[in-house]
Amino acid sequence: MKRIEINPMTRLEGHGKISIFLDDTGNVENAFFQTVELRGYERFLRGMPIEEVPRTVSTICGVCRGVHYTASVKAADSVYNVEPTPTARKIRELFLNAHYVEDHCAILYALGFPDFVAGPTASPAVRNLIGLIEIVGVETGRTVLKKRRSAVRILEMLGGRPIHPVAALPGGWSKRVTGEERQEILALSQDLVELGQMTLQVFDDVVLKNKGYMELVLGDIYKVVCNYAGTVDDRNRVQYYDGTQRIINAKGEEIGRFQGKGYLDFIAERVLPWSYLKMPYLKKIGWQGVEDGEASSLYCVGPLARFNVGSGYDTPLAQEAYEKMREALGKAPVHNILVYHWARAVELINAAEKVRQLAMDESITSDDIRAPLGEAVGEGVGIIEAVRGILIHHYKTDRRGIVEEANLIVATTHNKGPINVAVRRAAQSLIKDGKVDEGILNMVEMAYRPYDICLACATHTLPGRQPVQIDIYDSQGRNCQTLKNF
Amino acid sequence: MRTIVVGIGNPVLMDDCFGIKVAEQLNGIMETRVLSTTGFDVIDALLGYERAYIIDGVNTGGVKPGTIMELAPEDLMADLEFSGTHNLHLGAALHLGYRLFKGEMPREIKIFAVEVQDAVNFGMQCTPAVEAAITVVADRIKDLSGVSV
Repeated sequence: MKRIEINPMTRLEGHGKISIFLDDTGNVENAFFQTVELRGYERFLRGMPIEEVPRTVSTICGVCRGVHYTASVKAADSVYNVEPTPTARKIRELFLNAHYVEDHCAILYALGFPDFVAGPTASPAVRNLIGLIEIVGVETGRTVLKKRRSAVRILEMLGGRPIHPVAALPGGWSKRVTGEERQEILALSQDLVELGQMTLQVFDDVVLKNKGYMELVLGDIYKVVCNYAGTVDDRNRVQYYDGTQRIINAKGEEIGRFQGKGYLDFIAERVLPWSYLKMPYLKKIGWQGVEDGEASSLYCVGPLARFNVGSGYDTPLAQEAYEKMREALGKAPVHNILVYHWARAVELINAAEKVRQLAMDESITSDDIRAPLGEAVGEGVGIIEAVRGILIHHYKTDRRGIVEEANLIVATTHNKGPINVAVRRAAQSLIKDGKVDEGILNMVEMAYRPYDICLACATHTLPGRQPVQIDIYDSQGRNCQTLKNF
Repeated sequence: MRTIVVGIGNPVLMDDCFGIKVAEQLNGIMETRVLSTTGFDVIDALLGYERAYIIDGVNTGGVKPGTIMELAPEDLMADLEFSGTHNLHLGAALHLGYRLFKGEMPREIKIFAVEVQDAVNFGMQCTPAVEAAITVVADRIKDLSGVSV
């Protein structure tokens, strides 16, 4: 059996690799998405006062800083048995939605669009953001980055710092929004909405109007049939900050709903010998292996899961875009994973509209930003929809609120099973008779990019360039070549 | 000349906080900014300045921990592959910044990369050799920018 590895996985946080195993005829026998990092934050948080945790977990990843921050402060609320004031909740929602805009924008333009604009088989030299700019034009690039900057400015105002925020407190928020700040955010929100409209237009022009790309988007290569989990309100509309986590099966039927600690009734994690990352599955179905299909116990989270689980969005422009998607894709759950990018574009405008709605609400400037704390109850769960999907922070503390145990389940962990299926399917479809060229390998990598993998937080270490080793095995299983970047 | 000092790193991963500590030492003397990624945020931090000093840790494995390397942007631009989902590496971010905002980017950028010993384990202090380089780099920046030491 011949072994081929794609490593490093370009444009991903942290360190991971794909190993593809070929049989004697040169066709794909199996493929694995592997990570080689160890967990660290959960241990590091032990002994820390719960109110310090949000500021610390925001350093888990420079990109995902807002979501860990928000989930952990919700857990801290729960540890202190306190509900944040309505004003604090609005500020937190504003913060999270601004984060969605800047994050989705970066993901789409740096990750998703280059594959389509430059073409999925283009050379890596042009299939990246800089190559994208050369094709769509410098002025478009300038506009995107400037409008994204408006979202970062909002985060900076609310969070107290541009990268790792400091304002969240159990029961509230430490910094009120002044009238001047509200006006500034309102003005900036116009940039965000325009960015959302522009992004939908780019997606429309580049992907939806290209017959070849749409065949790829809706074809069987990039398709994983599994269950879905996402957060909805009482009308089943997609929510990010708070709501109920709803799970549906591959046919669209509801399996269950949970909130808070209830996740333990639905999610189990299986340790796999070939990865440090555990693979979650639905407890009620039971472990069915790393296989998709209607009997699968694997589930996925993130924009496509939210699209499938929800019945729409709670803002007008996003709802309009959702209805257009539904008209094109039908009512049943969509299993085509490149649709993730489409759902991402819809969420970008949804979040932008929510920022505008929240900034229009004058009551957000109220000074009622913190509720008094109750007694520490010793346990707290905070769940939000992170940009990449359901994020769970679960802490156990002593009576003083000092963390004794921490469990963080991030989107990339939820998605690990479907990612493996996606990579295997793409590899099997694209690699035939041992023929592997760069274009095909990129199309295999396209199978994991929709999930917007953040291995940094999935494995709880920091992002950055990691040591990479490539081992190549011949058909007899012998390691015939090793490549290193260190 | 309008100058910005940009320190990049993670405050809780030992030597990875080197850039942050240099920026903190210069805070109040010069305009400073702390970042934890080398993506679009770098461009945001640099726009409107004429000169920039960027400080980050580096792990070449080829020199002793604490070794200070002074680099120009072109030294980092040979490899324009992307290192993260939405996290360009520094060379790619600077390249993108110049391509999109040529007139608004600093005319002069110097990068101080300091060889790390441990940027994996948790801790808010640098290892001794890297710690010793903090003041050296801060003084060098003050010297270069004409701020009296």
